[in-house]
Amino acid sequence: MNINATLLNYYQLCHRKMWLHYHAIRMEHTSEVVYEGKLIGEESYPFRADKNEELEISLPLENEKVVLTAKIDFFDAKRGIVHETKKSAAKEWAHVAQLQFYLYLLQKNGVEVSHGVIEYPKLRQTERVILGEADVLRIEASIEKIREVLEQEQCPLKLPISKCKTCSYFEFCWVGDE
Amino acid sequence: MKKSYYLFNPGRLSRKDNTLCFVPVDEDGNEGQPRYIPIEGVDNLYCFGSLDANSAMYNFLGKNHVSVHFFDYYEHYTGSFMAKEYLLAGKMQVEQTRHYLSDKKRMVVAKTLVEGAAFNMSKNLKYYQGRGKDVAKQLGQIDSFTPLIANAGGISELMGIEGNIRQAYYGAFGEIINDFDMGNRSKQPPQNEVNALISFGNMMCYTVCLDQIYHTQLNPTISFLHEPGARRYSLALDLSEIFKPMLVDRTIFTVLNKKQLQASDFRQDINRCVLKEGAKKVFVQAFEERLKETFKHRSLGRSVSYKHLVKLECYKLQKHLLGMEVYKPFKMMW
Ligand code: SF4
Repeated sequence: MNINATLLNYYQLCHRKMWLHYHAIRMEHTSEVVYEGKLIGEESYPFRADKNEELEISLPLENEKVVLTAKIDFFDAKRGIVHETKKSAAKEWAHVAQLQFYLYLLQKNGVEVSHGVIEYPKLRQTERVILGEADVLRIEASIEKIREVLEQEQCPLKLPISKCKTCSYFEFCWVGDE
Repeated sequence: MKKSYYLFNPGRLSRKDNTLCFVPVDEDGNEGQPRYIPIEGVDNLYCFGSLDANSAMYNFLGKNHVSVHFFDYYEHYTGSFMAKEYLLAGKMQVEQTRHYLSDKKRMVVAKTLVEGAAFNMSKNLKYYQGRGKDVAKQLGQIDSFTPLIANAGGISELMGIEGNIRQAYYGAFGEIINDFDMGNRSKQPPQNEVNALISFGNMMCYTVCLDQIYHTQLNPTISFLHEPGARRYSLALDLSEIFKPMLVDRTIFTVLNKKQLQASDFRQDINRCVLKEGAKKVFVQAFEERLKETFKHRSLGRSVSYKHLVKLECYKLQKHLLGMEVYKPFKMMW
Protein backbone atom coordinates (compact mmCIF):
# COMPACT_ATOMS: atom_id res chain seq x y z
CA MET A 1 0.00 0.00 0.00
CA ASN A 2 1.37 3.36 -1.06
CA ILE A 3 0.47 6.40 0.99
CA ASN A 4 1.28 9.82 -0.40
CA ALA A 5 0.55 13.44 0.45
CA THR A 6 -2.68 13.45 -1.53
CA LEU A 7 -4.08 10.62 0.58
CA LEU A 8 -2.93 12.35 3.72
CA ASN A 9 -4.74 15.47 2.61
CA TYR A 10 -7.91 13.57 1.69
CA TYR A 11 -7.76 11.74 5.00
CA GLN A 12 -8.09 15.08 6.72
CA LEU A 13 -10.94 16.15 4.45
CA CYS A 14 -13.04 13.01 4.09
CA HIS A 15 -12.33 9.33 4.60
CA ARG A 16 -14.60 8.36 1.73
CA LYS A 17 -12.79 10.66 -0.64
CA MET A 18 -9.51 9.10 0.41
CA TRP A 19 -10.82 5.56 -0.02
CA LEU A 20 -12.25 6.26 -3.48
CA HIS A 21 -9.11 8.01 -4.63
CA TYR A 22 -6.97 5.16 -3.39
CA HIS A 23 -9.09 2.69 -5.35
CA ALA A 24 -8.64 4.84 -8.46
CA ILE A 25 -12.25 5.99 -8.59
CA ARG A 26 -11.27 9.50 -9.47
CA MET A 27 -13.08 12.57 -10.61
CA GLU A 28 -10.22 14.97 -11.12
CA HIS A 29 -10.39 14.53 -14.89
CA THR A 30 -13.71 16.35 -14.85
CA SER A 31 -12.35 19.31 -12.97
CA GLU A 32 -10.92 22.39 -14.64
CA VAL A 33 -9.23 23.39 -11.40
CA VAL A 34 -6.73 20.58 -11.55
CA TYR A 35 -5.84 21.51 -15.10
CA GLU A 36 -5.19 25.07 -14.08
CA GLY A 37 -3.11 23.85 -11.18
CA LYS A 38 -0.92 21.85 -13.51
CA LEU A 39 -0.26 24.82 -15.73
CA ILE A 40 0.91 26.97 -12.86
CA GLY A 41 3.18 24.26 -11.62
CA GLU A 42 4.74 24.02 -15.04
CA GLU A 43 5.00 27.65 -15.94
CA SER A 44 5.32 29.92 -12.95
CA TYR A 45 8.96 29.31 -12.31
CA PRO A 46 10.46 28.52 -15.68
CA PHE A 47 13.98 28.95 -14.31
CA ARG A 48 13.38 25.73 -12.41
CA ALA A 49 12.86 23.79 -15.58
CA ASP A 50 15.95 21.85 -14.58
CA LYS A 51 14.26 18.61 -13.64
CA ASN A 52 17.29 17.46 -11.68
CA GLU A 53 15.88 19.19 -8.66
CA GLU A 54 12.82 16.97 -8.75
CA LEU A 55 12.92 14.23 -6.22
CA GLU A 56 11.02 11.03 -5.83
CA ILE A 57 11.34 9.54 -2.42
CA SER A 58 9.82 6.64 -0.57
CA LEU A 59 9.92 5.08 2.83
CA PRO A 60 8.84 1.52 3.60
CA LEU A 61 7.42 1.14 7.09
CA GLU A 62 8.47 -1.72 9.37
CA ASN A 63 6.06 -4.34 8.07
CA GLU A 64 6.87 -3.32 4.47
CA LYS A 65 3.16 -3.45 3.75
CA VAL A 66 2.96 0.31 3.76
CA VAL A 67 5.24 2.50 1.71
CA LEU A 68 5.19 6.25 2.06
CA THR A 69 5.91 8.04 -1.19
CA ALA A 70 6.36 11.59 -2.35
CA LYS A 71 7.19 13.48 -5.49
CA ILE A 72 8.87 16.65 -4.49
CA ASP A 73 8.90 19.33 -7.18
CA PHE A 74 11.94 21.19 -6.02
CA PHE A 75 14.42 20.25 -3.34
CA ASP A 76 17.38 22.47 -2.67
CA ALA A 77 19.72 19.81 -1.27
CA LYS A 78 22.51 22.21 -0.43
CA ARG A 79 20.42 24.20 1.97
CA GLY A 80 17.95 21.44 2.85
CA ILE A 81 14.92 23.42 1.72
CA VAL A 82 11.80 21.93 0.14
CA HIS A 83 9.94 24.28 -2.21
CA GLU A 84 6.34 23.94 -3.26
CA THR A 85 4.25 26.23 -5.44
CA LYS A 86 0.51 26.64 -4.94
CA LYS A 87 -1.88 28.31 -7.32
CA SER A 88 -4.36 28.73 -4.52
CA ALA A 89 -5.60 32.25 -3.77
CA ALA A 90 -5.61 31.40 -0.08
CA LYS A 91 -3.20 29.75 2.27
CA GLU A 92 -4.38 26.36 3.42
CA TRP A 93 -3.52 24.09 6.25
CA ALA A 94 -3.32 21.22 3.79
CA HIS A 95 -0.39 22.88 2.04
CA VAL A 96 1.51 23.03 5.30
CA ALA A 97 0.67 19.42 6.08
CA GLN A 98 1.90 18.36 2.64
CA LEU A 99 5.26 20.02 3.14
CA GLN A 100 5.62 18.61 6.61
CA PHE A 101 5.02 15.19 5.13
CA TYR A 102 7.83 15.80 2.63
CA LEU A 103 10.16 17.00 5.38
CA TYR A 104 9.25 13.95 7.44
CA LEU A 105 10.04 11.59 4.57
CA LEU A 106 13.35 13.25 3.84
CA GLN A 107 14.36 13.25 7.47
CA LYS A 108 13.43 9.57 7.90
CA ASN A 109 15.58 8.82 4.89
CA GLY A 110 18.51 10.42 6.63
CA VAL A 111 18.54 13.57 4.53
CA GLU A 112 19.50 16.81 6.24
CA VAL A 113 16.53 19.13 6.07
CA SER A 114 16.06 22.63 7.35
CA HIS A 115 12.55 23.75 6.45
CA GLY A 116 10.02 24.11 3.68
CA VAL A 117 8.80 27.09 1.70
CA ILE A 118 5.39 27.38 0.07
CA GLU A 119 5.18 29.93 -2.70
CA TYR A 120 1.88 31.55 -3.59
CA PRO A 121 2.42 33.36 -6.89
CA LYS A 122 -1.13 34.65 -6.94
CA LEU A 123 -0.72 36.15 -3.50
CA ARG A 124 2.89 37.12 -4.08
CA GLN A 125 3.66 35.56 -0.71
CA THR A 126 5.65 32.72 0.73
CA GLU A 127 5.10 30.66 3.84
CA ARG A 128 7.79 29.01 5.90
CA VAL A 129 7.09 25.51 7.22
CA ILE A 130 8.99 23.62 9.89
CA LEU A 131 8.62 20.08 11.18
CA GLY A 132 8.27 19.97 14.97
CA GLU A 133 8.18 16.97 17.26
CA ALA A 134 4.41 17.21 17.64
CA ASP A 135 4.08 17.23 13.87
CA VAL A 136 6.05 14.01 13.60
CA LEU A 137 3.74 12.32 16.11
CA ARG A 138 0.67 13.59 14.29
CA ILE A 139 1.93 12.34 10.94
CA GLU A 140 2.72 8.91 12.35
CA ALA A 141 -0.69 8.61 13.99
CA SER A 142 -2.41 9.68 10.77
CA ILE A 143 -0.56 7.09 8.73
CA GLU A 144 -1.71 4.36 11.04
CA LYS A 145 -5.34 5.49 10.76
CA ILE A 146 -5.10 5.90 6.98
CA ARG A 147 -3.92 2.33 6.67
CA GLU A 148 -6.89 1.12 8.70
CA VAL A 149 -9.41 2.98 6.57
CA LEU A 150 -7.84 1.91 3.28
CA GLU A 151 -7.80 -1.72 4.32
CA GLN A 152 -11.56 -1.68 4.79
CA GLU A 153 -13.43 -3.64 2.15
CA GLN A 154 -16.26 -1.17 2.38
CA CYS A 155 -16.22 2.45 1.26
CA PRO A 156 -16.56 4.79 4.28
CA LEU A 157 -19.76 6.73 4.86
CA LYS A 158 -20.55 10.14 3.45
CA LEU A 159 -19.99 13.39 5.29
CA PRO A 160 -22.93 15.70 5.90
CA ILE A 161 -23.91 17.20 2.53
CA SER A 162 -22.97 20.70 3.67
CA LYS A 163 -19.32 19.66 3.63
CA CYS A 164 -19.58 18.16 0.14
CA LYS A 165 -20.70 21.07 -1.99
CA THR A 166 -17.30 21.83 -3.50
CA CYS A 167 -15.98 18.28 -3.55
CA SER A 168 -15.28 16.74 -6.96
CA TYR A 169 -17.13 13.61 -5.79
CA PHE A 170 -20.28 15.55 -5.00
CA GLU A 171 -22.31 14.09 -7.85
CA PHE A 172 -20.91 10.63 -7.37
CA CYS A 173 -21.78 10.59 -3.68
CA TRP A 174 -25.10 12.36 -3.76
CA VAL A 175 -26.80 11.20 -6.94
CA GLY A 176 -29.63 9.04 -5.70
CA ASP A 177 -32.77 7.78 -7.31
CA GLU A 178 -34.37 10.56 -9.22
CA MET B 1 -18.73 22.84 -22.36
CA LYS B 2 -17.44 20.27 -24.84
CA LYS B 3 -19.51 19.52 -27.91
CA SER B 4 -20.25 16.66 -30.24
CA TYR B 5 -19.38 17.25 -33.86
CA TYR B 6 -21.23 15.57 -36.70
CA LEU B 7 -19.43 15.10 -39.98
CA PHE B 8 -21.97 14.46 -42.69
CA ASN B 9 -19.87 15.43 -45.67
CA PRO B 10 -17.02 13.36 -46.92
CA GLY B 11 -13.67 15.02 -46.38
CA ARG B 12 -10.27 14.98 -44.77
CA LEU B 13 -9.64 15.50 -41.08
CA SER B 14 -6.17 16.40 -39.92
CA ARG B 15 -4.26 17.87 -37.05
CA LYS B 16 -3.05 21.45 -37.23
CA ASP B 17 -1.17 22.21 -34.01
CA ASN B 18 -3.82 21.98 -31.32
CA THR B 19 -6.67 22.20 -33.71
CA LEU B 20 -8.59 19.79 -35.88
CA CYS B 21 -8.95 20.80 -39.49
CA PHE B 22 -11.76 19.44 -41.61
CA VAL B 23 -11.63 19.93 -45.37
CA PRO B 24 -14.79 18.78 -47.15
CA VAL B 25 -14.23 17.07 -50.47
CA ASP B 26 -17.03 16.83 -53.02
CA GLU B 27 -17.78 13.98 -55.43
CA ASP B 28 -15.40 15.31 -58.04
CA GLY B 29 -12.57 15.55 -55.54
CA ASN B 30 -12.75 19.33 -55.19
CA GLU B 31 -11.81 20.65 -51.77
CA GLY B 32 -14.15 23.02 -49.96
CA GLN B 33 -13.59 25.65 -47.30
CA PRO B 34 -11.58 24.19 -44.37
CA ARG B 35 -13.14 24.29 -40.94
CA TYR B 36 -11.08 24.51 -37.77
CA ILE B 37 -12.16 22.99 -34.46
CA PRO B 38 -10.06 23.57 -31.31
CA ILE B 39 -9.56 20.22 -29.62
CA GLU B 40 -10.49 21.43 -26.12
CA GLY B 41 -14.03 21.99 -27.31
CA VAL B 42 -14.50 18.52 -28.77
CA ASP B 43 -16.35 15.86 -26.84
CA ASN B 44 -16.61 13.32 -29.64
CA LEU B 45 -17.04 13.02 -33.40
CA TYR B 46 -19.83 11.34 -35.34
CA CYS B 47 -18.79 10.37 -38.77
CA PHE B 48 -21.51 9.79 -41.39
CA GLY B 49 -19.61 10.58 -44.56
CA SER B 50 -16.41 8.95 -45.66
CA LEU B 51 -13.44 10.29 -43.76
CA ASP B 52 -9.84 10.57 -44.79
CA ALA B 53 -7.42 10.77 -41.90
CA ASN B 54 -3.98 9.66 -40.83
CA SER B 55 -2.63 8.14 -37.66
CA ALA B 56 -1.27 11.47 -36.40
CA MET B 57 -4.85 12.68 -36.22
CA TYR B 58 -5.97 9.61 -34.30
CA ASN B 59 -3.05 9.84 -31.91
CA PHE B 60 -4.01 13.42 -31.29
CA LEU B 61 -7.64 12.50 -30.65
CA GLY B 62 -6.57 9.64 -28.43
CA LYS B 63 -4.43 11.86 -26.27
CA ASN B 64 -7.36 14.17 -25.79
CA HIS B 65 -9.78 11.33 -25.06
CA VAL B 66 -11.98 12.16 -28.01
CA SER B 67 -13.85 9.19 -29.51
CA VAL B 68 -15.01 8.87 -33.09
CA HIS B 69 -18.17 6.96 -33.95
CA PHE B 70 -18.62 5.68 -37.48
CA PHE B 71 -21.79 5.04 -39.44
CA ASP B 72 -22.14 3.49 -42.85
CA TYR B 73 -24.22 4.58 -45.81
CA TYR B 74 -27.34 3.04 -44.30
CA GLU B 75 -26.77 4.83 -41.00
CA HIS B 76 -25.68 1.62 -39.36
CA TYR B 77 -23.31 2.14 -36.50
CA THR B 78 -20.18 0.37 -37.66
CA GLY B 79 -17.80 1.01 -34.77
CA SER B 80 -15.89 3.50 -32.72
CA PHE B 81 -12.39 4.71 -32.31
CA MET B 82 -11.88 4.87 -28.57
CA ALA B 83 -8.74 6.25 -27.06
CA LYS B 84 -6.80 3.80 -24.96
CA GLU B 85 -8.62 3.15 -21.71
CA TYR B 86 -7.70 5.97 -19.45
CA LEU B 87 -9.57 5.56 -16.20
CA LEU B 88 -8.66 2.12 -15.03
CA ALA B 89 -9.49 1.08 -11.50
CA GLY B 90 -8.60 -2.41 -10.40
CA LYS B 91 -11.15 -2.57 -7.62
CA MET B 92 -13.92 -1.37 -9.92
CA GLN B 93 -13.03 -3.93 -12.59
CA VAL B 94 -12.95 -6.73 -10.09
CA GLU B 95 -16.30 -5.81 -8.58
CA GLN B 96 -17.93 -5.37 -11.99
CA THR B 97 -16.68 -8.78 -13.05
CA ARG B 98 -17.79 -10.33 -9.78
CA HIS B 99 -21.30 -9.02 -10.36
CA TYR B 100 -21.32 -10.46 -13.84
CA LEU B 101 -20.05 -13.86 -12.76
CA SER B 102 -22.51 -14.39 -9.92
CA ASP B 103 -25.91 -15.29 -11.37
CA LYS B 104 -27.61 -13.86 -8.34
CA LYS B 105 -25.77 -10.54 -8.40
CA ARG B 106 -26.09 -10.26 -12.16
CA MET B 107 -29.85 -10.82 -12.04
CA VAL B 108 -30.28 -8.04 -9.48
CA VAL B 109 -28.70 -5.51 -11.83
CA ALA B 110 -30.37 -6.90 -14.95
CA LYS B 111 -33.82 -6.82 -13.37
CA THR B 112 -33.29 -3.27 -12.20
CA LEU B 113 -32.40 -2.22 -15.73
CA VAL B 114 -35.52 -3.84 -17.17
CA GLU B 115 -37.70 -2.34 -14.45
CA GLY B 116 -36.31 1.10 -15.20
CA ALA B 117 -36.83 0.64 -18.92
CA ALA B 118 -40.41 -0.59 -18.40
CA PHE B 119 -41.17 2.33 -16.13
CA ASN B 120 -39.88 4.83 -18.66
CA MET B 121 -41.74 3.20 -21.53
CA SER B 122 -45.02 3.32 -19.69
CA LYS B 123 -44.28 6.89 -18.61
CA ASN B 124 -44.01 7.86 -22.26
CA LEU B 125 -47.35 6.29 -23.01
CA LYS B 126 -48.98 7.96 -20.03
CA TYR B 127 -47.67 11.29 -21.18
CA TYR B 128 -49.38 10.86 -24.53
CA GLN B 129 -52.48 9.44 -22.90
CA GLY B 130 -52.70 12.73 -21.05
CA ARG B 131 -52.70 14.40 -24.44
CA GLY B 132 -55.65 12.47 -25.72
CA LYS B 133 -53.98 9.44 -27.31
CA ASP B 134 -55.74 6.14 -26.80
CA VAL B 135 -52.98 3.88 -25.53
CA ALA B 136 -54.87 2.29 -22.64
CA LYS B 137 -54.62 -1.17 -24.13
CA GLN B 138 -50.84 -1.06 -24.44
CA LEU B 139 -50.45 0.45 -20.98
CA GLY B 140 -52.54 -2.39 -19.63
CA GLN B 141 -50.29 -4.92 -21.37
CA ILE B 142 -47.14 -3.33 -19.98
CA ASP B 143 -48.72 -3.30 -16.52
CA SER B 144 -49.46 -6.98 -16.75
CA PHE B 145 -45.93 -7.91 -17.82
CA THR B 146 -44.05 -5.68 -15.38
CA PRO B 147 -44.69 -7.74 -12.21
CA LEU B 148 -43.12 -10.75 -13.93
CA ILE B 149 -39.72 -9.06 -13.94
CA ALA B 150 -39.15 -9.61 -10.24
CA ASN B 151 -39.73 -13.36 -10.54
CA ALA B 152 -37.74 -14.01 -13.70
CA GLY B 153 -35.56 -17.05 -13.12
CA GLY B 154 -32.78 -16.23 -15.55
CA ILE B 155 -31.49 -13.80 -18.12
CA SER B 156 -33.29 -15.35 -21.09
CA GLU B 157 -36.61 -15.32 -19.26
CA LEU B 158 -35.97 -11.70 -18.31
CA MET B 159 -35.12 -10.84 -21.90
CA GLY B 160 -38.37 -12.48 -22.96
CA ILE B 161 -40.38 -10.31 -20.59
CA GLU B 162 -38.50 -7.25 -21.75
CA GLY B 163 -39.31 -8.20 -25.33
CA ASN B 164 -43.01 -8.49 -24.54
CA ILE B 165 -43.05 -5.12 -22.85
CA ARG B 166 -41.26 -3.53 -25.75
CA GLN B 167 -43.61 -5.09 -28.25
CA ALA B 168 -46.63 -3.73 -26.39
CA TYR B 169 -44.93 -0.35 -26.18
CA TYR B 170 -44.16 -0.17 -29.89
CA GLY B 171 -47.76 -1.16 -30.52
CA ALA B 172 -48.76 2.27 -29.26
CA PHE B 173 -46.51 4.19 -31.64
CA GLY B 174 -49.07 4.14 -34.44
CA GLU B 175 -51.53 5.92 -32.16
CA ILE B 176 -49.00 8.47 -30.89
CA ILE B 177 -47.52 9.34 -34.26
CA ASN B 178 -49.96 11.23 -36.46
CA ASP B 179 -49.13 10.62 -40.09
CA PHE B 180 -47.00 7.50 -40.14
CA ASP B 181 -47.71 3.87 -39.48
CA MET B 182 -45.32 1.84 -37.46
CA GLY B 183 -46.51 -1.66 -38.28
CA ASN B 184 -44.36 -4.29 -36.65
CA ARG B 185 -40.95 -3.43 -35.35
CA SER B 186 -38.58 -4.43 -38.11
CA LYS B 187 -34.94 -4.04 -37.27
CA GLN B 188 -32.83 -5.59 -39.96
CA PRO B 189 -33.52 -3.91 -42.18
CA PRO B 190 -36.11 -1.36 -41.09
CA GLN B 191 -39.09 -1.52 -43.44
CA ASN B 192 -40.70 1.85 -42.89
CA GLU B 193 -39.99 5.40 -41.74
CA VAL B 194 -40.71 4.93 -38.05
CA ASN B 195 -38.62 1.78 -37.87
CA ALA B 196 -35.77 3.50 -39.66
CA LEU B 197 -35.86 6.32 -37.12
CA ILE B 198 -35.97 3.92 -34.18
CA SER B 199 -32.93 2.05 -35.45
CA PHE B 200 -31.04 5.23 -36.10
CA GLY B 201 -32.01 6.81 -32.78
CA ASN B 202 -31.15 3.69 -30.80
CA MET B 203 -27.66 3.73 -32.26
CA MET B 204 -27.26 7.35 -31.31
CA CYS B 205 -28.36 6.53 -27.77
CA TYR B 206 -25.92 3.64 -27.64
CA THR B 207 -23.01 5.88 -28.56
CA VAL B 208 -24.02 8.48 -25.98
CA CYS B 209 -24.03 5.78 -23.30
CA LEU B 210 -20.71 4.46 -24.55
CA ASP B 211 -19.15 7.92 -24.35
CA GLN B 212 -20.34 8.50 -20.83
CA ILE B 213 -19.22 5.06 -19.63
CA TYR B 214 -15.84 5.80 -21.14
CA HIS B 215 -15.45 8.79 -18.84
CA THR B 216 -15.96 6.63 -15.77
CA GLN B 217 -14.05 3.63 -14.46
CA LEU B 218 -16.69 1.17 -15.64
CA ASN B 219 -15.60 -1.38 -18.19
CA PRO B 220 -17.91 -1.00 -21.21
CA THR B 221 -17.47 -4.63 -22.28
CA ILE B 222 -18.85 -6.22 -19.10
CA SER B 223 -22.64 -6.08 -19.07
CA PHE B 224 -25.46 -7.58 -17.06
CA LEU B 225 -28.68 -7.67 -19.05
CA HIS B 226 -27.13 -8.18 -22.46
CA GLU B 227 -24.63 -10.95 -22.92
CA PRO B 228 -21.13 -9.49 -23.08
CA GLY B 229 -20.16 -9.81 -26.70
CA ALA B 230 -23.66 -9.06 -28.00
CA ARG B 231 -21.80 -6.00 -29.08
CA ARG B 232 -18.32 -5.08 -28.15
CA TYR B 233 -19.50 -2.47 -25.67
CA SER B 234 -22.48 -4.31 -24.30
CA LEU B 235 -22.70 -2.25 -21.12
CA ALA B 236 -23.74 0.64 -23.37
CA LEU B 237 -26.62 -1.56 -24.58
CA ASP B 238 -27.64 -2.15 -20.96
CA LEU B 239 -27.66 1.51 -20.11
CA SER B 240 -29.47 2.59 -23.25
CA GLU B 241 -32.47 0.50 -22.19
CA ILE B 242 -33.10 3.10 -19.51
CA PHE B 243 -32.65 6.09 -21.77
CA LYS B 244 -34.13 5.11 -25.13
CA PRO B 245 -37.71 6.06 -24.22
CA MET B 246 -36.68 9.48 -23.02
CA LEU B 247 -33.96 10.35 -25.51
CA VAL B 248 -34.89 8.51 -28.69
CA ASP B 249 -38.61 7.85 -28.72
CA ARG B 250 -39.62 11.28 -27.51
CA THR B 251 -37.43 12.82 -30.17
CA ILE B 252 -39.05 10.65 -32.83
CA PHE B 253 -42.55 11.64 -31.72
CA THR B 254 -41.60 15.29 -31.79
CA VAL B 255 -39.92 15.43 -35.18
CA LEU B 256 -42.73 13.47 -36.83
CA ASN B 257 -45.67 15.16 -35.14
CA LYS B 258 -44.23 18.61 -35.65
CA LYS B 259 -43.70 17.60 -39.27
CA GLN B 260 -40.00 18.40 -39.09
CA LEU B 261 -39.67 15.15 -41.00
CA GLN B 262 -42.12 14.08 -43.66
CA ALA B 263 -42.57 11.16 -45.98
CA SER B 264 -40.41 12.88 -48.60
CA ASP B 265 -37.45 12.78 -46.19
CA PHE B 266 -37.25 9.01 -46.56
CA ARG B 267 -36.39 6.80 -49.45
CA GLN B 268 -37.33 3.22 -50.11
CA ASP B 269 -34.23 1.27 -51.10
CA ILE B 270 -34.46 -2.28 -52.38
CA ASN B 271 -35.76 -3.80 -49.16
CA ARG B 272 -35.31 -1.13 -46.58
CA CYS B 273 -36.38 2.34 -45.66
CA VAL B 274 -33.56 4.89 -45.57
CA LEU B 275 -33.32 8.39 -44.13
CA LYS B 276 -32.26 10.89 -46.72
CA GLU B 277 -29.24 13.08 -45.98
CA GLY B 278 -31.35 16.01 -44.78
CA ALA B 279 -33.44 13.75 -42.56
CA LYS B 280 -30.38 12.55 -40.71
CA LYS B 281 -29.36 16.12 -40.01
CA VAL B 282 -32.81 17.05 -38.76
CA PHE B 283 -32.98 14.07 -36.48
CA VAL B 284 -29.44 14.47 -35.15
CA GLN B 285 -30.10 18.11 -34.39
CA ALA B 286 -33.32 17.34 -32.54
CA PHE B 287 -31.53 14.57 -30.65
CA GLU B 288 -28.66 16.91 -29.74
CA GLU B 289 -31.14 19.46 -28.44
CA ARG B 290 -32.78 16.78 -26.35
CA LEU B 291 -29.41 15.88 -24.85
CA LYS B 292 -28.71 19.49 -23.99
CA GLU B 293 -32.07 20.04 -22.31
CA THR B 294 -31.65 20.53 -18.61
CA PHE B 295 -33.81 19.93 -15.61
CA LYS B 296 -33.43 20.32 -11.90
CA HIS B 297 -32.11 17.10 -10.44
CA ARG B 298 -33.86 16.40 -7.17
CA SER B 299 -31.21 14.68 -5.10
CA LEU B 300 -28.40 16.93 -6.36
CA GLY B 301 -30.42 20.13 -6.26
CA ARG B 302 -28.61 21.17 -9.42
CA SER B 303 -29.59 21.62 -12.98
CA VAL B 304 -28.26 18.80 -15.18
CA SER B 305 -28.57 17.96 -18.86
CA TYR B 306 -30.00 14.69 -20.15
CA LYS B 307 -26.60 13.81 -21.48
CA HIS B 308 -25.06 14.30 -18.07
CA LEU B 309 -27.82 12.20 -16.61
CA VAL B 310 -26.32 9.21 -18.38
CA LYS B 311 -23.03 9.81 -16.58
CA LEU B 312 -24.86 10.06 -13.27
CA GLU B 313 -26.43 6.70 -14.04
CA CYS B 314 -22.91 5.31 -14.40
CA TYR B 315 -22.05 6.65 -10.95
CA LYS B 316 -25.08 4.91 -9.46
CA LEU B 317 -24.09 1.68 -11.12
CA GLN B 318 -20.55 2.04 -9.82
CA LYS B 319 -21.82 2.55 -6.30
CA HIS B 320 -23.97 -0.54 -6.59
CA LEU B 321 -21.07 -2.64 -7.82
CA LEU B 322 -18.84 -1.34 -5.03
CA GLY B 323 -21.51 -2.30 -2.50
CA MET B 324 -22.11 1.29 -1.48
CA GLU B 325 -25.72 1.85 -2.49
CA VAL B 326 -28.34 -0.29 -4.15
CA TYR B 327 -28.82 0.78 -7.76
CA LYS B 328 -32.13 2.44 -8.54
CA PRO B 329 -32.62 3.23 -12.19
CA PHE B 330 -33.42 6.66 -13.51
CA LYS B 331 -37.18 7.04 -13.76
CA MET B 332 -38.80 9.68 -15.90
CA MET B 333 -41.09 11.79 -13.81
CA TRP B 334 -42.75 13.77 -16.55
S1 SF4 C 1 -18.86 14.39 -1.67
FE1 SF4 C 1 -18.73 14.50 0.55
S2 SF4 C 1 -18.80 12.39 1.23
FE2 SF4 C 1 -18.34 12.36 -0.95
S3 SF4 C 1 -16.14 12.28 -1.04
FE3 SF4 C 1 -16.70 14.41 -1.16
S4 SF4 C 1 -16.65 15.15 0.90
FE4 SF4 C 1 -16.64 12.93 1.02
